[in-house]
Amino acid sequence: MSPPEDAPPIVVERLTKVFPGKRKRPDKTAVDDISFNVEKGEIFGLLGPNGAGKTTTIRMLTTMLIPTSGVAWVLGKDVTKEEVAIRKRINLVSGGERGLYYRLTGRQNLRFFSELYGIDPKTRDRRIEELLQLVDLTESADQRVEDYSRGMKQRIHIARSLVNDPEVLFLDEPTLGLDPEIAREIRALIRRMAGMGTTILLTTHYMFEAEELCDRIGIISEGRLVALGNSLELKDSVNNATVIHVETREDPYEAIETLEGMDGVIHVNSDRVPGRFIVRIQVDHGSDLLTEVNEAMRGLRVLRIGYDEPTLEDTYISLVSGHER
Amino acid sequence: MDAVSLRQTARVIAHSSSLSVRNTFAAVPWWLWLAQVLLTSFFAMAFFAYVADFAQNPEVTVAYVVLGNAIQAVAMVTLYSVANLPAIEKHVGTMPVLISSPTGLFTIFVGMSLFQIMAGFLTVAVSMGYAVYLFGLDLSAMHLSVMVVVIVLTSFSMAGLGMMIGAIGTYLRTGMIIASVVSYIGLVLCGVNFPVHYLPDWLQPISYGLPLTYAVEAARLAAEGATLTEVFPQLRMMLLLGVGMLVASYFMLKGFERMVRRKGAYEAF
Amino acid sequence: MNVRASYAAFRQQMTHFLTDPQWIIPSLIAPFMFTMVVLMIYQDVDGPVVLQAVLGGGVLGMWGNTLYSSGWSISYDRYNGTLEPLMTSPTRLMDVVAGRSVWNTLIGLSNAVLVFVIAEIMFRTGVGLANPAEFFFILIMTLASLASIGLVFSAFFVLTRASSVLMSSLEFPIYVVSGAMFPITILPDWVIPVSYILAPSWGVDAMKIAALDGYEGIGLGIAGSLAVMLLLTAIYIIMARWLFKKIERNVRSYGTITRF
Repeated sequence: MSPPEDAPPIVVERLTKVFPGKRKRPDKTAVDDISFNVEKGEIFGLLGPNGAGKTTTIRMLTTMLIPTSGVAWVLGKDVTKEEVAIRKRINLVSGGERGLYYRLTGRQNLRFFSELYGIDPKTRDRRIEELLQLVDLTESADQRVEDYSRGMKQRIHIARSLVNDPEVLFLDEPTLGLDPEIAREIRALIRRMAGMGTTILLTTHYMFEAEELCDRIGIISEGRLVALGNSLELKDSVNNATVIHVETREDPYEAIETLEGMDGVIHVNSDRVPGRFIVRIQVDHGSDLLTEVNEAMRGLRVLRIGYDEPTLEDTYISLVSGHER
Repeated sequence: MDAVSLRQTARVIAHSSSLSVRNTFAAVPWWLWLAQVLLTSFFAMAFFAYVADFAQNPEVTVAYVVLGNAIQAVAMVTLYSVANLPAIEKHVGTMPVLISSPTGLFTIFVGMSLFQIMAGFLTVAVSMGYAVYLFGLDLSAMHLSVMVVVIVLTSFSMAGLGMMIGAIGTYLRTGMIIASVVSYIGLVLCGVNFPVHYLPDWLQPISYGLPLTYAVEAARLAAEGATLTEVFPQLRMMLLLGVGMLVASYFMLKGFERMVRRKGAYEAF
Repeated sequence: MNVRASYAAFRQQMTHFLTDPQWIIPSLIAPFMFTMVVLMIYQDVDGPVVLQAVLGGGVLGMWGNTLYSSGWSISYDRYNGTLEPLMTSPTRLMDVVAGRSVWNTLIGLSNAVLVFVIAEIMFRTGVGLANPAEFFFILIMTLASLASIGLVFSAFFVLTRASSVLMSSLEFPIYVVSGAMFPITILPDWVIPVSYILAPSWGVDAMKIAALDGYEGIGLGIAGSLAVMLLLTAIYIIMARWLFKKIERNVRSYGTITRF
């Protein structure tokens, strides 16, 4: 069985991965019957909490894991049976401090991985210089990776992932733990690569990153794909919810406890920023709970209270906590 | 030290010991660990037994060599493992966390080494079994209680040496390598496989600075039927050296903690 | 076989080693100490027996390095997080390990040279070889055989977290059955077949015949011992290929790739 001629670069149909339980523990279904496609040149995001199945999905698509059932094709090739053909045309960035030979220089790392992809020497040398320029590491290319900062390591990861000029690039949490400026540079790089025609599938925790970068987002929770679409479509899918936005000077923990038990309240989310606390209460569409919320906040200095549109984060929390399907 | 801090210290030692056990068996199933102990002690002994058999040196018989190696087995296990403890903590990145706790490194490593000492007892017991039943070592004249005391003190003194080597290793990047080197030195310097007097004169004082030399001497005397009184000089030296090295390790670890805090160089060395 | 990738892996391993050569010490210590012990036990014996001890020490050095460096090769990648990028590349894992095995074996040779040199300085053994040209040819063949056995070791160690336990469990048994320090004929009869299936044992036998005047060894002569060694080496390579394929499939099925 193979996909049609004009199939997108990534086709996933009813993909499932079950890990056998160890030491009398039950089997774990890490990915449960997910289906989606990724079009050429698209940046597709997989969003989900820790343990949702994002990394397992990426591992199956990059041929590192064999699915238990279902099929997936990358560039028209079956991930289970045609792994060598796929590996020549894709690459993966897992990020983090690991994944490079720290006693080798940046250039030596790139050269080694180029050889594994069979890049001819002339192309290899030219491409290495281009990649070092792209990730702004030309001057540090001959320093050992163990002396690189975290941001530099992430940039050399990205350079390494481009040595074979991949048609499809997988990025697993590419900006995790990075300084905001470096993270911004990485995102700009990702956009540039997509602009050059590379199909990108990335996983991320960061809502704003998914919203900023991704053409479409799949939200995955407990192994299942609970939502799929662009950020507008996803927000619209939480169509039975309204958000009441409250900002207070003091910690509203007691008020939050009261609100969580109230009829009509779907979810309460709180955050702290310098100088104030932000509470976003998702309520059933049509419920007018503004008075009740105001009452719950009695005794606190309320800086702002009013209705708001659901953000992607509201949508995500709502979907992942199982209130909306 | 008051009753509360004594109780707290005992708790840390107990928990560190338990952690050491769980760490060992999380990486390796217990049966594989046991198989490794059984196999390694047998083959290490067998190697030298066959060398002795082939060499036909009347002073270095198979019996001579297997008894030495049975005692030396504790070096392979206890000394190496204890000496490696600080290096492993640095390697996996938990040293900053340990230093920033209110408990000193010495207490933590004493706790962790308890399991290694128990493993040392097991290894020596197994090795003695091999020596007697497979390689024909005659222990008919031996007083068991004397040999037990020799083995207990051997384990203690080797743990002390291990703590000192481990403490030295905290100042260096090469802690794991030093542990490796020291655990094998006993083979050459401590009368395990040939008498100390075979060594050049300038090396022999080093031999007599190592507790294993006295342990092997005491074990040879005990095997011939010596009483506790007769092996007392060797036992005394093992105790003195073991305590001395333990105390030295305490001050070295304290010094290391102070130095790292002053320089903030947790990832160095 | 992807020769370019293997060569790249050879260079990577070489660079890695040369930037921090201290890590050779653990695999050098045991053979070195063992040789010193054996020479001390043999001190009243001279001539070919002493040369045999020195030769044996050199062989132990090569074995120790093969076991630890090749055995640790893939485990290091797993610990370092580089196993994932290796496995997502189109190059077979075995081709990468093969390149590294070759470098590790060459370093094992330097272990052997170091043992010879120190033995000469400390014990004045006078290493005089009966047939030097033959000896060095057999040495190269034996090194290739060790590299192939390194491949088998690293294949076994890739799946489990207990690799360091397995490695240290194999170290001494190999020292005993390799025939390095004493002829395998003095081992119990039931152990001798184990020696026979270790290809380097035949290389050691051939080296001793070439080095020691009048040494007969197993009894097949140099050509016979070499032939058996090469046959066993070919079997190891086939075994390693099969093991790596099986192991890659298992790792892809159970997702154990990043556990370390």
